[in-house]
Formats: sequence, C-alpha cells, structure tokens
Amino acid sequence: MRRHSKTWQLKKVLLSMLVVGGLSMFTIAGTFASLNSESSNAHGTIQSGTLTLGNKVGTASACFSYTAATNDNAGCDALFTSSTLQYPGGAAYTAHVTVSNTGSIAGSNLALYMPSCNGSGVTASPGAPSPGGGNPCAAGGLQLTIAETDSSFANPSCVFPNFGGACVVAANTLAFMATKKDTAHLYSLNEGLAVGQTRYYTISLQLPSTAANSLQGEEAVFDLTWLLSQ
Amino acid sequence: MRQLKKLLLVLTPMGAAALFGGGGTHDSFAELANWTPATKSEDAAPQSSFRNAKRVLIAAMLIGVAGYVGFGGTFANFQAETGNNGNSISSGTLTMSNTVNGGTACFSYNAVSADNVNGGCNAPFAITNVAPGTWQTTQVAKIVVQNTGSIDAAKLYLYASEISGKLSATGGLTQGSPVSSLSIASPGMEGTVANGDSITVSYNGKSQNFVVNGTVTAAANSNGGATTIPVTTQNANFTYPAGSTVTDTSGNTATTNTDCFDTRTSTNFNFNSISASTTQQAYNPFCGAVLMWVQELTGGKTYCWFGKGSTYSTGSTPSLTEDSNGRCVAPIANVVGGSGISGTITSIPVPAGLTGNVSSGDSIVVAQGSTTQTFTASAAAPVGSTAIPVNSLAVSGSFTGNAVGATLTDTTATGLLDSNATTDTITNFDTGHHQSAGRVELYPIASNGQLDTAATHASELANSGTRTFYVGVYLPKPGGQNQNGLQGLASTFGLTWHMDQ
Repeated sequence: MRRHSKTWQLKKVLLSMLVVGGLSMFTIAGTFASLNSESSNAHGTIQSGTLTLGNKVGTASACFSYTAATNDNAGCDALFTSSTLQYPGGAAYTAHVTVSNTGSIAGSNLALYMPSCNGSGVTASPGAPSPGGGNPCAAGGLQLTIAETDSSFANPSCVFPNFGGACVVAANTLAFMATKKDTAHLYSLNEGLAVGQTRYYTISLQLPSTAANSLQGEEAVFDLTWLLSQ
Repeated sequence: MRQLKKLLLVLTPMGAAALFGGGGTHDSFAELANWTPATKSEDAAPQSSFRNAKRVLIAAMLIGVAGYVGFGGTFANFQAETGNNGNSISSGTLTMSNTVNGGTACFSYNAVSADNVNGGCNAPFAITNVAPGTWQTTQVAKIVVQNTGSIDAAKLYLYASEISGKLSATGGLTQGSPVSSLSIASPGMEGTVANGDSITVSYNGKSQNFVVNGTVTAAANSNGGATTIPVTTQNANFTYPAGSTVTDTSGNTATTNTDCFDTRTSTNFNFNSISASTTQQAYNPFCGAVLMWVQELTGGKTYCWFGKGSTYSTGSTPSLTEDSNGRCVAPIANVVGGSGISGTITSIPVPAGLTGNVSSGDSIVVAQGSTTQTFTASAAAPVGSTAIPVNSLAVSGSFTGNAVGATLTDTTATGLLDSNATTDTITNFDTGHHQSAGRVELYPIASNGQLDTAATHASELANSGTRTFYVGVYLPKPGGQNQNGLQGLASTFGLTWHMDQ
C-alpha cells in the first residue's frame, strides 16, 4: 500500500513536470529562441557645428548673435547717435565695426541688409525749430559708404557703394541700402568669414553738400544687420 | 534503487539460511557454507534423513537464488557482445562578428554580458562639426556582418538598438539583496529613460525585470546618458555582475523615447533646445533632422534597406523599392584615386570603391583647395564601383589623387536628400524599426533591387558568410528653412544586427 502511494506520488511529480514543460514550450517559446546572436554598433555620434557672429562697435564690448533666441541679435550697439548734428558739406560721421565668426563652421557669405530706415516725419533731437519735412532715407538724403580696413581701421578698401579702392561718396546711397531690406534682398560684401576670422569696417554717413532745405531738422533712424551665411 | 536491490540480494541467502537452518543445525552462515554431504553411516536415523533433505533443499535454494540473481550471465553456454562506447554529441555555434570600416572585428560571443549579445561594438560614426548640406567622408561607414559560427542563420535582422547601458563597476546586484536603484556605467544609458519604464537586467541567460520608480536624471545638457535609474524595490533574483546589460524595453515608440538622443554641445546658446525646440522636432530635434540610409552590396548585388530609395523608409514589409536597382540616394564620400586627373577625361578613378551611388546625369564636383570643377556622370556607378564614367571634358588644371586626392561630391544626390528632409530620419528609423516592431528582415538579395522572400529561401546568413552594408548620415539643407535650432547639437544612436537559427 505504501509502495503504491510512493509510486503515485512519483507519478504526480512527473506529471507536474510534464505539464510545466509543456506549458513553457507552448506559452513562452519566444523567450527561449533556440539559438541567436546579436551585435550592436552603439554610441555612434553626429554633431552639428556652429555659425555665430560677433559684432563690436568701436571699443565697446562685443555683441554676439547667439545671445538672442534665434541667433539673430538685434540688440547690438548703435553705430551712430545724433549727438553731433550734420550739415551740408560737413565732416562725415564714421563708425568702426569689428565682425568675427565665433562659430565652428565657415561662413561663405557676409552680407548686409537694412530692415528699416525711417526718416519721414522724424524730428531730430534736439529738434530744429522748423523741420523741413524731408526724408534723409530717401533719394537726395544721406550718403553712405562702407570700407573694409585692417585691424587698425586703416588702409580702407571700399565695399559699398563700390568695390575696391577708396569709396566714392555718391548720392542716394542710404536710400539704395534701404532697399536691401530683408534676407531676400541682401547686399553681399562678396566675401566670407572663416572660422575665427575677423573683419574690420569703417562706415561713414554724411549729408550731401547739395542737401535740400527740406532735410533741415530731420533725423534718419535705421537698423543695419550683418548676416553671415554658411 | 539499484543499491536497494543489491542489499536485498545479500540479505536473501542469509535470511533463507536463518529461516531454514535456524532450527539448530547451523549456527552461522559460515558453518552452512562449510557443510558437506553426509556419509551413509550418518544417515542411519530417520531424523537424520529429514535433516539431510532439509540441507539439500537449503543448498538448492541458495544455488538457485545465487544463480538467478548473481551469476546468470556468467555461466551462459554461448555469448556474443558488441559495445558502442565513446559516443559524443556536440552543439554547433551561432555567433556573429561586426566590423566597421575594416577595423577590428567585434564578436557577439565575448561580450561582458556573457549572453552572445554584444552591445559594445564599434560606433560607425564619430562625426563633428556638421553643417547642413555638407558632406564629409566620415559620414558613411562600411559595416561587414559575418556569421562566425558553424550553424546557418535562417534570419538576419537590422533594427534600432534598444535604450540600453551596462551596470557600472560598482553597480553589480547581489542575489537576494534589495535593489532600489541601478548604477549605469559611463557613458550612461543610450536614450531617454522615463518614470514607469520597464527595465530588464540580464546576464548569461539570467534576467530580471524592474520598473522605473521616479525621475531619471539625464546627463547634463542631454536627453540621455543617465547613470542612475531608481526602480521599484525588489530583491535581485541572481547575482548580476558589473557589465550586465540594462535595457529599457519601453523605448523607441515616440520621439521622446528613442534610442537616438540629443545633447547640447553649445550650451551658451538659447536657440538650440533639445526638449522644446520651436523650429524643429520638439524633442531630440537633431535626431529628427539627420537622414540615414542603409545600402547593401553583397556578392555584387545591391539593395537599399533604409533611406531614400527604399520603401522600408515608411513601412515594415519589403516591396518594390523606390529605386528598382536597389540603390539608395547615397552621396559619395571619396577622393580621386590613382595619379589624379588631368587632360581630357571620360572617367574619374576611385580605386577604393565608391561609398555611395552615382546615377547617370548626376553632377560630380571635384574639389581641391579653392579649385573646383563639375563633371556629369555619363552612366550609373553604384556603390563599390572603382570609377565614375563622365562625359568627356577637359580638366581645368589638374587634381591629384590618392591620400591627398581631390574630394568628390555628388551634388545631385545631396540635392535630392535636401528635398527629402523629413522621411528617412534617425528618429523615424528608431520608431519604425525596433526590437519589438518593424525589424528589418534582411532577406537574401536575388538581384539588384529584388529580394528572395520565398518561404524556402536560403539562409539569410550562412555560416562563414558575410554581408556588407554602407550606412550613411546626412544633415539636409532644405530650401528656405532656417536651421539655427540645430546648431551645437549632437545625436547619439545605435544599430543592432541580430541572427536567429
């Protein structure tokens, strides 16, 4: 009787193992694939470079494109202020600008555009007693020149309105630049900026000697943007 | 059981002797053994006769028992015997190697995790300073996969690696001890690990599942690289040593949890967010911008497995490819070979073999220093070709070859990729082709652009067999789009090659 009981127990154990084995075979077959082999090429990396622009007016601190949310910093220093009034035939305003590629990718094209030039109805401050009502941004208005120089802002070579040599002061040049109002209407300086390279420019503005009385007591307010493209 | 039987056999004659001889005739089994047949004079009394009969019967019984149990084979009249000894059965092997750009082969069988799964093979790319629309020779990698075992692999798959890492040197788990956190070796987890994700720790056939319980801190300025993973506490079911594989099995289902993850390498910018980009894919924007292709060239046959040129780009079932010849749009990354080119030419030598595909009519730009010249391909030159046929043209000046050779660029191919900037991204590869869904089964190539998908097709990687792939990545320059949001970023990602018996 005892022997029969032991046999029965053994049978029970064997049956249980059979059931477990069968279940594992049918229910979790995928977990125990017969043979497999695997290798992975992990941690591949691809890293982008950077294209950023530094802009310094005179001896002020450099202003960087990347501090703005779109790498388009419109808050750099102004080139000119109205602290000194212009008059026909008087000395030109000049400003020195240092432009640098502070990124890791070369910029192939350095260009300028003028998002705005507002001279209509803008009265100079301190204002003349009787503004003339003219527009210094329009034809007959201010004359603009841009020359590239060495790091001492000497030995200029004109890049606007003509290329090479001394700049030719010409009429309507601020008005012309005002037509280069966005990235679709750029004024290319026909040069790029290599990584770490710096270029130096002298920008001049003056009233033409033949300026009309309508420009008396008027003010031109304009933005000038430097754009470096890959 | 056998021992019990032996014991019973020994006891049987002793018991029988005790039973029958215990009447006083013999005091011991030794005495019984020394018994000899009685002489006639000893048999005079009737009682003595009965005793003799008893002795005979006992002796017969002993002989019978001994003969039955112990000596049956010894006294057979005739016998014959053969023995099949020294049998052995040995298993075969299913292992693979993975070689990147002709470097040192990486084998599945010697991974630290001791499970024939090697997640640490060479990275195919370590590309820096990429600009949109530009092309460097480092942007394509040649990967040779070989079955180094003795058994054919019926199946060979390619898919995005799972989010994974390894237990750190001090992060081994001890069987029976509670585990509330996993320590991951540098460079941390490849991919983003989120609260609630399922984590598997595995080593040498053992595995244990955990659930992330808490915020996982990624590496600084990164969406990946976590080195500590808090988990719901449970006791380790095995002693998992350092180097055991840690896998997040919840990954590759959305842009926020792909194996590919972004890191900000320029941290002083405020326009290159990797988690909330407003100009690109919001999360992992660089993974979502970089295009990838996988071109196979095995036995002289081509097939495009992923990228422009393959319908695998958007689906998981192979069908007619976008390119009937099985060629991905894959820019070349070569230099002029041989002695260079000069004079009037009709072919540009590339003895090292093209790493991309040139189609007839493509513009091929040769550049050296500031000198460039554009040629037009007069016929197709698929990956592996050693020359590009071009329309006859006089070379302006000369371009040198070999190590300092002029670079070659297929601007037609890059242009096509520029206009295909959203489909074949690394993000889409990860979410569309991962371990649990959309694995790319690498069927044998029947002919250029045609697969052998028949049920009876040959093994996908026979033992000792190799298959050769070119994997490339490219940051497109889609027209009219500002891509400043992609500046100063890096994407990290992996590819997995898997064989089944």
